[in-house]
Amino acid sequence: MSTFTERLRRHGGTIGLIVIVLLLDVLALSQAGGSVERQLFVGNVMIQVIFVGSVGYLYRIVGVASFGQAIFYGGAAYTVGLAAPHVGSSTLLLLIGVGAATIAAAVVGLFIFRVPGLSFAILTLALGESLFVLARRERWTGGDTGLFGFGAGRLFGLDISTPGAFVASMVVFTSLGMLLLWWLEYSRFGVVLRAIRSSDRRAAALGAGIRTYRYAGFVVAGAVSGVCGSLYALLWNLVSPDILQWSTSGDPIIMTLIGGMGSIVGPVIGCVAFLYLVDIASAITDQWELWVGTILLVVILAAPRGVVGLVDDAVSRVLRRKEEAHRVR
Amino acid sequence: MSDNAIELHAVDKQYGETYALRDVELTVQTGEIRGLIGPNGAGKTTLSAGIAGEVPFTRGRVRLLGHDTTRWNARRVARLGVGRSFQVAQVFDELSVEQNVALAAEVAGLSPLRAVLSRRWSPDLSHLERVGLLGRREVPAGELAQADRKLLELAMVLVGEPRVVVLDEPTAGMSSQEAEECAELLRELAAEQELTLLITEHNMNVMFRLAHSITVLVGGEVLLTGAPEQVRTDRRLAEVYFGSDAEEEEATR
Repeated sequence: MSTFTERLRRHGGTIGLIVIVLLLDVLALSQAGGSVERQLFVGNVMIQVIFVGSVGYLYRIVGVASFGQAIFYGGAAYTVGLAAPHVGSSTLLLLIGVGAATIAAAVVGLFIFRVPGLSFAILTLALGESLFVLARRERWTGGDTGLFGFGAGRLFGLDISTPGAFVASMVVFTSLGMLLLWWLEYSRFGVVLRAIRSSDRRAAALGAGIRTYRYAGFVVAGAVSGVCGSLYALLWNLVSPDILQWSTSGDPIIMTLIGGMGSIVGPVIGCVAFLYLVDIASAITDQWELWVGTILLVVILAAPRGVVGLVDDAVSRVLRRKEEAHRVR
Repeated sequence: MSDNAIELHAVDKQYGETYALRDVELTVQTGEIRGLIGPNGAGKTTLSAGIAGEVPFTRGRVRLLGHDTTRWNARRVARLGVGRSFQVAQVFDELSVEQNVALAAEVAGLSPLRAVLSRRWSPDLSHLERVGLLGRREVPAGELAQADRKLLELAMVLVGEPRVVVLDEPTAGMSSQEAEECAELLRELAAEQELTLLITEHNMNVMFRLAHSITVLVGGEVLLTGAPEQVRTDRRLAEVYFGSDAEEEEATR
């Protein structure tokens, strides 16, 4: 195999990620001057890609299927909402939201890693739903309406006071968020986690602290989800119980399936595709859920490794043909 | 402290009513190469896993390098300086050969915090060169042939500079020539690094040439222990292998 092919294969995820983030940045900048509705939509896309990335990270690198990432995402958003009347600075609000999500992940992780596989997934789901019910019932969380009206100002010096400004600032935050996810995957930390996932017996026999690493991976993913939840609250200026509902945890998993579980770009591509699919379908018909569902079914059946899998296959085919042509000559 | 690297006293391993190991006594001196043979199901792999702390014994005591490790888990045993290979080689498929070895060398004392701060590994590739895989260091381990996986795993075990190494069928899946080369390599390495080796093996040629002494395990119990020549000519061994289990010997050829 040629070194070019090998290199392409080894760095495919990184290259794909750079391309998609640049495209997202261009998209955000082009929409920053559009209608408020478009601004909110794109702002949300810019946040969701990081969130879905963190869910993909949990699944692919840490090796656990969490159905309760809404706990940390929604939990951070609610924390921002609750703290907003007392805290003026958006930067501080974001940090408080992330802090709350991190602590929540640290506590949940302590209990949750004692149970294996499917029970783990169900337990995360149950926890998330409990929070959902709680948020709807309690008066201090605003009940069904939720919390709203905590205005924005500046976040780390960048203007987020209007949806348009927010979207433009997200160019920076999304790029940084993706860089963070990339680092968490390719640093030694990520490599050790991938090794543990690949063979925990071997890792243990080498003296690796398996539980410590997986716990740390879970907490870090929770913290990143918390960043996204906080940003969400700051973008919309409101938090409603929906954000804690199971679909907040479930959608990222569907998006990851669409994009492909196998690489770092998969969840990001899947997220963008899903959000645009819903956006377009809901503009055309009231029964959009039916259509989106059907399309998803077809995509998942036709491309079990997701969009990234399709691209990967196509690229491999072209390269192989080229190599063969080369050999014949 | 004693001169024994491995000491097992009255070790049992029970799965429900069934004994996988029963009243096993085993003493391996520091620097010794001990072979462990016996028909399939004799408990060789159970013994390896138990010593390594992966699957605790039901009863009995384990001392490794002078420490009572009876209740220790695999990670703690590994950090004491006990390496181990598996019957079916366990390597990290999606990582490159080089990354496998680098990670093996560093992971034992690496905290998540330090790990997250850096991308750089500083691999010691001498072991990879030793097993003849240096040329394939950028290949994902998942693409290696069975014999090469075994060798990679060996390099991963050795790079951690263990003092005791438990090898579960190190030459499984190798051609007879590859197996002999591997045995030769093991002998050299053991001498150079003053390793204590406990090796289970189906390949008798390899075993009789490599081991200083051999323990025969049958039905979870120690049948005999002795020098290779002594064991080879012992009538009881012939009964085990050529008597009731003749077909099995065929199968392992």
